[in-house]
Amino acid sequence: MNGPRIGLEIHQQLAAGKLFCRCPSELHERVRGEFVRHLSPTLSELGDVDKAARLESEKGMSFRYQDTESSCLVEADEEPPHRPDEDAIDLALTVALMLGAEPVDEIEFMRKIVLDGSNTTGFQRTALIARGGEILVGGERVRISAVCLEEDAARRVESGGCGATFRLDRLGIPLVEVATEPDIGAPDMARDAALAIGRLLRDTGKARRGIGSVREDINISVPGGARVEIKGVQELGMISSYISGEIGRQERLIGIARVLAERVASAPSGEAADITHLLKGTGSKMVSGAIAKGGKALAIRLPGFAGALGIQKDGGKGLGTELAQRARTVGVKGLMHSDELPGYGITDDEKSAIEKELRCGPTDAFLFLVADGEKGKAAIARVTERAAEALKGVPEETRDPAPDGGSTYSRPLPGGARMYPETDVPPILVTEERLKRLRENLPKSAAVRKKELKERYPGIDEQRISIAVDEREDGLIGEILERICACGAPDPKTASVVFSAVLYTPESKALSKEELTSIFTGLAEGSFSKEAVPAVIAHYAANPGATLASALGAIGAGSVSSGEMEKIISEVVAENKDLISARGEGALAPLMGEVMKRLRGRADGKLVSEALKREMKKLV
Amino acid sequence: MAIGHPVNMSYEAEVLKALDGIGARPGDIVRMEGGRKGAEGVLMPRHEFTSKDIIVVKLKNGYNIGLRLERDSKLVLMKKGIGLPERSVPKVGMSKELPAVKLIGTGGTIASYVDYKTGAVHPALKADELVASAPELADICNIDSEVLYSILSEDMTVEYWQNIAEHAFEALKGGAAGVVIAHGTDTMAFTAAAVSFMLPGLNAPVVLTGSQRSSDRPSSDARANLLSAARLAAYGDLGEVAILMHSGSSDDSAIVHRGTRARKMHSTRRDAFRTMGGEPIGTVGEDGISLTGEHRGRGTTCPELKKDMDDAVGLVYAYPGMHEKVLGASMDGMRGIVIAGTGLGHLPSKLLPSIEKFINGGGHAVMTTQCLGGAVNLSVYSNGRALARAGVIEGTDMLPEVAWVKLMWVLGQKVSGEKVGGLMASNLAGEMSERRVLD
Ligand SMILES: [Zn+2]
Repeated sequence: MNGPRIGLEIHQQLAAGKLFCRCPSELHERVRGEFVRHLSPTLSELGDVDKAARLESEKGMSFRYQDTESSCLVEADEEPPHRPDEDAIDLALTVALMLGAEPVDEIEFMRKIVLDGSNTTGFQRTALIARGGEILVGGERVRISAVCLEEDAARRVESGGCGATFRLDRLGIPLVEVATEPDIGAPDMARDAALAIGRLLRDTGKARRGIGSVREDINISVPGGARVEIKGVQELGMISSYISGEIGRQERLIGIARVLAERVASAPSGEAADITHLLKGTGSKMVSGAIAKGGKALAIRLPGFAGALGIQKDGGKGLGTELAQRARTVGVKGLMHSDELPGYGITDDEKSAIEKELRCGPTDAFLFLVADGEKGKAAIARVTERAAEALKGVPEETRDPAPDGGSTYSRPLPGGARMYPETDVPPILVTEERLKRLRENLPKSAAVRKKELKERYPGIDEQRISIAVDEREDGLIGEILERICACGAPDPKTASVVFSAVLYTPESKALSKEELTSIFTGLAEGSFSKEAVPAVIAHYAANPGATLASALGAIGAGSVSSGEMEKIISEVVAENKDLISARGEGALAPLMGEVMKRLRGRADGKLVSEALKREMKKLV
Repeated sequence: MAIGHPVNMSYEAEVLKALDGIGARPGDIVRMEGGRKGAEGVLMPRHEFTSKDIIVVKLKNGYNIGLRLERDSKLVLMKKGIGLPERSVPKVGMSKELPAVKLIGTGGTIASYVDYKTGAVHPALKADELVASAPELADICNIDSEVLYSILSEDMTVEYWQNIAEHAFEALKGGAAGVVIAHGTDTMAFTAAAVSFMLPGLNAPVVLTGSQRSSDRPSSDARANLLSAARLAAYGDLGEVAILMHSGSSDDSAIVHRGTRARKMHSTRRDAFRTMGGEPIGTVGEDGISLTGEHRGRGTTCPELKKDMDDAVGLVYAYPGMHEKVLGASMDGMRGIVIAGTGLGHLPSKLLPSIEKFINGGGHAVMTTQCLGGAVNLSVYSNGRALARAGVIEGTDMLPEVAWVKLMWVLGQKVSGEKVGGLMASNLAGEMSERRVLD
């Protein structure tokens, strides 16, 4: 393949109990207590600690954890894991079967070392459930490499200088992970593949909804580049831009490496030079401020790197940004490099003085940063390491998605060395009987469910059912439709309106049969209009025990007299004469909105529209 | 306990035969061929609960999976494992200027290594490994470490205690500022009590510490506990045997318990240990050592080593309807018995004759209370008075297991029979108190 190779890992929270304890999978805002922990890499028999794991722990972080009503001793790492949740295992196997993947015969849970504090244990428990399978994306085959079942991490609620605060409510919620082979060749196809897998996961009826319930990791490499993982993308709509951005970044880095090779550039060597004395009287406020606080300016020469650091020909960022992001991992916020100087208050003279001090030749570049002793040295070491990687092209790494569609360096790509067996969880034999039961009860696809609902509730608007199935749980849809039919909806249109209104009202499940009946009766008697239905339902949901009269009173609804309606219409028409003469019939929609706003939903839209049309005609 | 896992990881009959057939051993790369279930990976040792016809392989992506060996599956040995290289332990340099601390390893999960390939956990066997698990020790004190054993603490015996006490004694005699004993938590309190009695006149801290999360996990409490214990041993103004463990769920504060007053009160939590019937000695936190509870300070005279014990002593827990056979078996051939009685120190009345017989035959019986709080009093109820008349010694507010350790030690001192009661009633190492206050 000549184009980019893209693979996806889709992580979906499951609506089941927590994976290794019997806490509910619910998020909480109330914090019961806090505790503080440190994590350290464990020594392995082979004497090697995973590179990513070591880097994380070098940061010397201390982590604060918040206990909630949905966490127990297991989340606090004060008790060994319990047996895995059976529903979660059934669900992961079901997803595997839906994808045509082959389940393993025995599930072995592993510990994946994660030292960023998001797991109290310092590892994430995860198991491979099945291999193989495929999904069709726009007629093209994308192979599935693995279906895994794992525990979600704790929720990061705050990040600070040398630590972070996590809430334990999310820790342990079961996640199913569907990983594809790098069969995807284009950004849009990746988005479509994510959509297709997401749809399949929702077809189980047990996918959790809401912010953060689905997260994507994207693996990207271009020919001559390297595997880079953009981790934790939450917005499906951004997938394409993350991928395009990364393809551009890798191509730029390959181009830079080619230029560096031609110049026989070598990695920076030796110690950093202290150039604080050269910047004593500098006009750069940032630099002079940091020096005044006791910081030292440390500089290194980058042999042959001139032009590689700043903005590149394609308008994209050069190596300077890459180097700065590495410095940031040890807490040094910024650096300056020769491609962007003079500038930022640094004069041409100061630049020349630094070049002279570092003995820079015409194709050499330099950079400097200001920080206190140890921190500065650590940052220079990281930057030097990154500069050396630039000679080879693209380094393998994990990156964090940025809100603007770009990404920033996060850590090296973790290796296989960080996985070892979770001996506290006994292996689980996948029996033939279990697979048979799951095969016989595979969830129906959305298309099939839509068709069934339409046949069963012919009165309800098809479009509304279609949207509902895509957006809400089947159980809820069925329950609402059942109740609406049982209450004797006056006509299909009213039933459809009420259906949508109930479905999209928070806590709509709480609406009783009596409340629904009162809405239908009220509509039939004309005591309020269809447009006021959502407000009435919201009132019912928020005020248990409310009557229709109190609801109408509270929202200021209740049918308006035809006289009042005519009055408002003529007012609006009079105020908008210019618009009507300019746009004729086309002014109906905006005026309609204005009239309905003033009527606050107290009149039937159809009647209003007819009356408005009549009034407008008079004018023309 | 994690250390128990790797013991039996070899495959059973059918699978073993197949593996032997191709000469494959855990660590080798094997391939299973047969339809879509085929897989290539490193052959793993089995978990104790792996089903009998399952082969576990580690795939390239790091995951282990279990595959059933079926009649038509074909197993191929792809490559012999390279074998595990010699484990290299980084040498931690010590500074002679810092106070000398003796670190004694006895096993437990405080210093163990994980084999990332198999997940097997191995205890630290060498002194260097013990220090390497917390290299920051070198910043605190000049550590001299020695691994005496590598056993689970439930397997401790009197001889182990004696050996530990002797090593602590020698270290202090040799000028160490203090001693740290790394120990499994299950029976740490027993060892602490034993060493307390064996080192009368103790002049420096002897600190037992351990971990509730084994050190093969990044979240282990081992490191924090070991560092705080070293700090206490090097700089604490303490002349007692103490247990140091987490004071709460956080890693930033440790609590110091008296060795004869501590009890493991939770099976899994980091703060499992509690001081019973009194205040803890103090805390060791990020802001230093704070010994606010009553305690003996450091002394200038050397302690004695009185390590003899008579292990012919039983410990029984009283319960309603307790069978004579249970009590009888606990006293048969023994020279002492400690009873964790109900309430103020009672046993079912029907057992009185057995106790009388045991005492009349020269045995010593000590009554303690299973309430764990408060003292025994054999004068309040008739059942108690009958026990007292029979010659049962009141163990006041000693913890049952501490009274048991103490009776073994008292009997080991070869004093005359009538002096045993007096010694048991004397406070030798802070194991009992004369007054109990509202808190
Ligand atoms: Zn829980």
